[in-house]
Amino acid sequence: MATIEILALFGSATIQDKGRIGFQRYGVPRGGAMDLYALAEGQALLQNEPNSAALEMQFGGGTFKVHGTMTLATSGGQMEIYLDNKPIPWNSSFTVYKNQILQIKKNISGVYSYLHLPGGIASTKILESRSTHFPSGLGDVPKIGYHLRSTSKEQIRQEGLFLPPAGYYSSKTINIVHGPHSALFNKKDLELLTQKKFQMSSSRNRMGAKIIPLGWNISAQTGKTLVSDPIVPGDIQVAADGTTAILLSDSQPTGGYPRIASVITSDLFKIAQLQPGEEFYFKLIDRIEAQMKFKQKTREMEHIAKALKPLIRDPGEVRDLLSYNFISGVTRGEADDDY
Amino acid sequence: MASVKSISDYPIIHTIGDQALMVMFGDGYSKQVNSKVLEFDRKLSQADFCWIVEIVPAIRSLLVTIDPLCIEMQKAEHLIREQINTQQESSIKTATRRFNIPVCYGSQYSPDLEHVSLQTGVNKEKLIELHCSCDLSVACLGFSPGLAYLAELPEEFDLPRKVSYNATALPGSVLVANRQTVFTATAIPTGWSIIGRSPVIGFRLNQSPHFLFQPGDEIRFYPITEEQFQTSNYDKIWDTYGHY
Repeated sequence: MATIEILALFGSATIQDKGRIGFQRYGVPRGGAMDLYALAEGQALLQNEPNSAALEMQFGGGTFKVHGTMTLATSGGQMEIYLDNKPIPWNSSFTVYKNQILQIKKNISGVYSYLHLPGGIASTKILESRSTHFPSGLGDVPKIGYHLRSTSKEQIRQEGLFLPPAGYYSSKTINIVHGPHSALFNKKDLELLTQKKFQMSSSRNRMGAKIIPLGWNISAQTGKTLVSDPIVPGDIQVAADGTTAILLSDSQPTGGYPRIASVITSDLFKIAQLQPGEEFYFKLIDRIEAQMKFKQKTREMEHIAKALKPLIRDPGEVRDLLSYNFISGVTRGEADDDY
Repeated sequence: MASVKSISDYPIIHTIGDQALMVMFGDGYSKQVNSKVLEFDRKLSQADFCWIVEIVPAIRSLLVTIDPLCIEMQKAEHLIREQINTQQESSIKTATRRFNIPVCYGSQYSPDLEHVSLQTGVNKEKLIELHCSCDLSVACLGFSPGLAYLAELPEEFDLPRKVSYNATALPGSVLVANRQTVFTATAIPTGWSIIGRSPVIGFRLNQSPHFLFQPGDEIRFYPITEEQFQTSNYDKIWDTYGHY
């Protein structure tokens, strides 16, 4: 069987599917891809199942060596990508051959990027998911020397498919709803929450992202150390020293700090892809509107495949032809004894 | 500022995020409040609503994640309120599962026992005796896989957390603060005092069942020597109860 070997990793990388449902009662974080929309895009590019797993890379990418023949796809935060030193387009499907070197480096937009294999990555499945969670040893840890394998016998898929970049990068508005602890905060803080700008910090990982209120501070709720309550991804937590963070996929299932509001589910993709330094406002909506937005986003995700486009375009209108020129590699007819 | 609520105001149903409801049964930990959480957990689980994705019981509250494609939030809230209103005191009885768990309170496994002794003015032998003297109930599992919050310890253990948060508690560590014991199953950073370690780890990766405890279980600790810790096999504890 063909594999993709990791030769180098420049940032952090995990394997992610949609995460674990039903184990938070045992203290297990839900996990799952930080940007589920980007995960769905890659699945559409390779006609994978909705819960198939991909390699999730944060700030860095890596170098990979191809053993065999396989069609891959990329999605999420845009990176520069080279196959045997030739640039190929992001957000597309392409076939790689034995001994080729794939380089993913230099982030262009967003934060979380995905490399997809046909049928998804075949890694250790535990508690019904392949999602890596380092602290508790769940799932495989992709590191140098690790071989990414496909779950599918059909390792050649349609190549040269492309998805136009999704419109949720560098978002200026993030929708929130009030939650169980909102009433614990000062009225003034609740007002400023939707009036003042916030900045995404560089202190972020899969557990959460620290955000910086610009020109003010949310009053620390001292003396209100709560008994731990369940957490949902998107909760905006204010710690005892006023540090504000949005809790994300790998957040612990329960926590004792009060949460001023929650980012709605369909805007978690926006948060995942906000780069450090980018500024945004929170907009308060009600739960009916939030639920409507979720349904809308779900429909959109179900129909991603309809947006697939072939990469061959009219050369007259393509100024960036060079980067679309990867099709030349397709006809390499080398014997593939690994397959 | 929220006004202080009295016990009769509970349970309170809140929306949390856009696809979950949180039912609060009280202001803080008490055996009574926690029992209500766990009773309602059993009741909702048995009601088997197709729109419920996940139920997460905590110390004084319970999270119900819903499938927004199946049900409107308002309708879900209404149905949950109906379940609360028809909940009779102790209507669903299940036998409490009891575990006796060995703990080594010896030197290398209890880096903070000396400190706790100084803080409380109780000598180490007495502290160990007190820690092993009560049936502790698993109020909830949380924070990390298989980690159990156990309550409630004698008042001698009413300690604050340590200021520094840099210690690592290895799997099986027994921690104390605020009259609670935390029993870890993975390595975690902690600001609680580490007073012992058990050879029994409540979470295992490679075999089902993966989790030894569930909320509502009762645990009583008993002391073992360092030699017993290192040489005895306690795997049969996993066979005490059926698989879940």
